[in-house]
Amino acid sequence: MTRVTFVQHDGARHQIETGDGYSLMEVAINNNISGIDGDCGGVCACATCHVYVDEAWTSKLGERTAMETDMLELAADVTERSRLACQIKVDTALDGLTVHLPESQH
Amino acid sequence: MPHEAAMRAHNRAATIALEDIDVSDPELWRTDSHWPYFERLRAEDPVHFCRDSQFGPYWSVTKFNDIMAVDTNHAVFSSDIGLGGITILDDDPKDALPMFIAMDPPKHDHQRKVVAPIVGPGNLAKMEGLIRSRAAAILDELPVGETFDWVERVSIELTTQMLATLFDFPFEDRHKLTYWSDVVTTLAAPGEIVETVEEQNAILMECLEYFVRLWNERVNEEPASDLISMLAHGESTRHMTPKEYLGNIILLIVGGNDTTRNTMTGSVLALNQNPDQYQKLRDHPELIPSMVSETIRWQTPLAHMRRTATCDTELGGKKIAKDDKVIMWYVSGNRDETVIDRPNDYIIDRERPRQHLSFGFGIHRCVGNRLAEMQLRIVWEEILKRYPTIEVVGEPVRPATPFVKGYQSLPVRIPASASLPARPSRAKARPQIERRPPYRQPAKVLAAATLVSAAGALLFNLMPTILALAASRFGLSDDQVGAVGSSYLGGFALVATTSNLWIDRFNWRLVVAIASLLSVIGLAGSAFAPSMPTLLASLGLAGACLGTLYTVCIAVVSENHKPDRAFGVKLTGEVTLAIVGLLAISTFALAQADFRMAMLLLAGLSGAAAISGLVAFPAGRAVVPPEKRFAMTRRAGGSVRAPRNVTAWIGLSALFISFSGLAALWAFVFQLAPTFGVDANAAENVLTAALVVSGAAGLTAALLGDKFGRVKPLAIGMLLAICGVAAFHWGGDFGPYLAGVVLTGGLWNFPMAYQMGMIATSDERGNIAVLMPAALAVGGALGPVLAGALLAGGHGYAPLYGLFAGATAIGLAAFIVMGRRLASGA
Repeated sequence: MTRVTFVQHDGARHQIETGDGYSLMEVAINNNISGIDGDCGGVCACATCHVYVDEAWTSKLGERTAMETDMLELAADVTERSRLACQIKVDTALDGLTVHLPESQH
Repeated sequence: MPHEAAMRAHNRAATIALEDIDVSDPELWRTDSHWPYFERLRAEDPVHFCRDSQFGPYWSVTKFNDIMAVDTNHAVFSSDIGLGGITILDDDPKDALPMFIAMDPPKHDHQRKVVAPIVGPGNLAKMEGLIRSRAAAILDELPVGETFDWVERVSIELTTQMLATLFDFPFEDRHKLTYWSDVVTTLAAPGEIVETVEEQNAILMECLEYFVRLWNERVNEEPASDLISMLAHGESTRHMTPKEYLGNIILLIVGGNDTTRNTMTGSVLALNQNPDQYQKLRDHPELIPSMVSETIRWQTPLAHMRRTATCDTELGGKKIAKDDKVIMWYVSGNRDETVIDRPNDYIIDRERPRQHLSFGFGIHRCVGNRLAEMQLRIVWEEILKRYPTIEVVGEPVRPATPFVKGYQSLPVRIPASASLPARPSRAKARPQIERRPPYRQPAKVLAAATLVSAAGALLFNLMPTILALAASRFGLSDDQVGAVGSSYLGGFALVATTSNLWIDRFNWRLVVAIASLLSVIGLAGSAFAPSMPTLLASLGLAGACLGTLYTVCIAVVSENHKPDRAFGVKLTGEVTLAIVGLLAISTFALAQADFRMAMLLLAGLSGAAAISGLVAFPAGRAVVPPEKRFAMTRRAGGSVRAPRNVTAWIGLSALFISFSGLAALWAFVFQLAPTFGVDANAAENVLTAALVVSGAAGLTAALLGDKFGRVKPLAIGMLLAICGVAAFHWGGDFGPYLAGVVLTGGLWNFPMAYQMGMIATSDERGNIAVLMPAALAVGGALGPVLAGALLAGGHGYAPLYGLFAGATAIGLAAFIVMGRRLASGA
């Protein structure tokens, strides 16, 4: 099991334990974390699962794909720590991952 | 739709051959009978090629996942307007407005990024209160116990108010937004709100004018959070051209208009057709957001989006060729049962309500989607507070189009009850859009301008003869001849280059009267001039005055509603008067080499033409000229300078250079004659022929238009001119002289019309094209003096021919480069 933490815009923290093989977006949706919408169902096609990855974790994730980079153009307030949660595969290597959620998905 | 019609549609769809299915048929959409066709395609031929339709051949993509694959692959499936745009109807890139929905990256990204914050989370939160209060006001006025049209009273009114808010548009004029949106999306045809494309464009120009005014009001104020202010202040948009500005406005007006409108109407229809869902909604208002998404799915307000393949590719086992038109039928994907459970049912509490294609996916996903959802949510929150039920009491009327899937009307009724007393309708009719009839220049005004312009152009057209006569009268050397030519043209140039400073300050009739009088004095003065300085001075005066007449006439003729034809008429008039002048001079002055008589004849003719033109001459502008009408004030300061329009400057420079060459040659054309053994009378005849040809050349250009593009005719004309000067150089008798004069001076109006057309087209901001008269005037003044200087070197006329050939060749090369830049979109 892997623990991931979602920090909502108002500061509320939600720590979730999840099995492997889910995308971070799916973890959020399945656990009713509001602030991640995932309109397209997780195929990198809507940019409504925008998260800010905490400093400590940015290097542990892979690079953004070209499609992810294109789609992030659609999100608001994008920074170098921005990722699309549907493109982050959760596994034990990411145990303790913390992400911040934007004020709202565009 | 009525049961029998539905049955008929089903039978036809079941029996028709697959290859004959054409889902784009507008009649299917008007009658809402496309559904069985899409069912069949999804089952039997999900990626389906339709060989022929009123929109040409196209591929239909009908299943959810295939549509998703196309929508997210923007590199292969392009939205670019140059390939036809984003609807099944091919847009003409020449007419089309630049909008980021019909662009590919990177340009798409830059433009979308500027607009996106307007409909982003921060702004939405700010707008919620205002949307709610406006919705409340509209809903409170609805009649109770009476039938009314939901589309007109609610859907249109609400979405229009929403748009007005986004733009901070003057509230009392908001009906114009709906009008302009309807005008843009209508296929111009008799009986529609716009009957011709010309009318459609004229209305869009009025829209642009209005928005330019708003831009100019806000650009130097503090930045505000409405779209116009954001565009005027944004670093990457403050230099946008009027066309780009209009394109973005239209995109938001259209994108935010009928889609939301039709979903608002659709929600009432859907709930009525599914009363159990309506009851569920009343019992559980917290389901409103979910119901909104379900309605957007069920309605699919834009039935399709179109892409064009940029290379050969494969989809669903089919081979799609480069340039093929590919239609993503969102309406079909939204009913795909392999992805959506019970897709034809309207279920307001689905598990994943946003699982639909109506907003598209990928980089072009609707930028306003959250705003649309918010509007619909607020409206339903307010409806449920007031009206337990809204009954549909008649059939909806749908438009005949495969693109916008909506309703032109929906009759509804809010029943009265004990708790909801009857309320009569207090409908205010939608204000009628008054259209001022477009300005139509009266024929007599064009005639007047033609006469005055002919007077203005007379001396230039006869310049070769006049200069030759002056040369013999005063014993002038070639460089002195050049000076004489340039003095006249210099006066002309001075007036033309400064026209912006004076043309709108004075009554034109007064200007024409004074300028005519002074030009007669100038011409007569040169007739009697005892010495060179006096000659130069009086010709300079004549030039300035005749130049004034000519410049004012350009302004008048530019207002004509058929400009090509009007300029053709003006040109014909100028040529005619010139021919009369030549005849007069040949008869009375030439044989005797009587310079004085010639100038007096010119003074008389010019004066007579100008005074007769004065009779019907207008006192000032009748319409605002385009460069003023759409002049967008730019915010002062900032780090990004306006982009240099290199292409237009290349054209303007080329115009200047090649016209200098022409003016140089033209000044000496009569003087050249003896070197070909051509006597004065024969030379006059040749000049007359050249004048006739010049009239015909201008008319030909006007008639031909850009049927063969612009670079080809321009190149042919300029190459022929070079051949003409070659004939001068290598020939020695009448034939080459005739050929030379006709091909250089005679033909010149033909390529020049295209040169000016290219510059005008390349200059979207309008600040370079207005310099064209100045370029011609300065080039025209420079030419003769340059020629004189060259000829003074004493090497015969060869240097002059070289100058012309060189200037023409440089000009031609520059215009070819310009043509390439324009074609590649620079």
